[in-house]
Amino acid sequence: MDSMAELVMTVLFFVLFTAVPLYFWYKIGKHFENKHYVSIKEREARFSKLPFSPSDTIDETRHVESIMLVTGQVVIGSDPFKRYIASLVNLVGGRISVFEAPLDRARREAVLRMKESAAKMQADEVINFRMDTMSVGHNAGGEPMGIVEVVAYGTAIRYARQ
Amino acid sequence: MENLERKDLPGRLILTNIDRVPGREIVEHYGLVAGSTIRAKHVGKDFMAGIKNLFGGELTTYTELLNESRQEATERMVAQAKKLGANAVINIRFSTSSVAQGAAEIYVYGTAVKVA
Repeated sequence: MDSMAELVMTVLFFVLFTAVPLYFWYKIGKHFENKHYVSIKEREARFSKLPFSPSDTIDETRHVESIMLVTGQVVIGSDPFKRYIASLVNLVGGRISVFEAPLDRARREAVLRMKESAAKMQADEVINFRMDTMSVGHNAGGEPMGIVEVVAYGTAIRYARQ
Repeated sequence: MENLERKDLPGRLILTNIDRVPGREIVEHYGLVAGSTIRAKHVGKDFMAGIKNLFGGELTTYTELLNESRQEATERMVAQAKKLGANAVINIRFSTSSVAQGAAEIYVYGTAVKVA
């Protein structure tokens, strides 16, 4: 009888202090993620006519009117649900798919910001595109907290209009 | 990089990360110019970032911090290039490292040249 009560208590504690909060964080994280993706897709459609490439070749047949260095940067964090799952996966090893979405969001957002400043100068394309990812923010123990900074930069080119 | 975008203003340098300036010829080389800065946010903002990190998503305070740092580092590099008499900086590279909790070092470097 005693062991039965113990088991019930353990399960109850797990549900109350682990499963419920995790579900709560999962829902919150998912909500903000979906909202961000909607905005990303909407802006990506708007800037789809502005090509960017990591090569540094330009259209030699056209006259270059102006060039400018454009950058886009974003720092993105992860919610406790993701960090919890990641710490579990870390024990057994394997693909940590929960961190793929935040990184994808950060990269696409950084590119969009770069494109926004390129569009401000009416650029026709962005060449020599580069992207850096860096983990920022550590807790007191020096452990990374799942925060990454992404910076996207390149040279915006505006050709003379015919 | 708000103020670097107004490149057409007089006294602004041409900044690019390709190794030439299209349509212009490089007439003089001044070598490497660089700028670096280490910045941190005050404790309150760090705390707010910690709260935000509970929800996932963008940490605006840190984006702002790194934005300001990158701008300042670029300005230092530009000042150095101007002192040498250059009117363009080519082959610009950025590098970032986090040196302490809530602080980041930004290093920007490139080649100062004169184009005609």
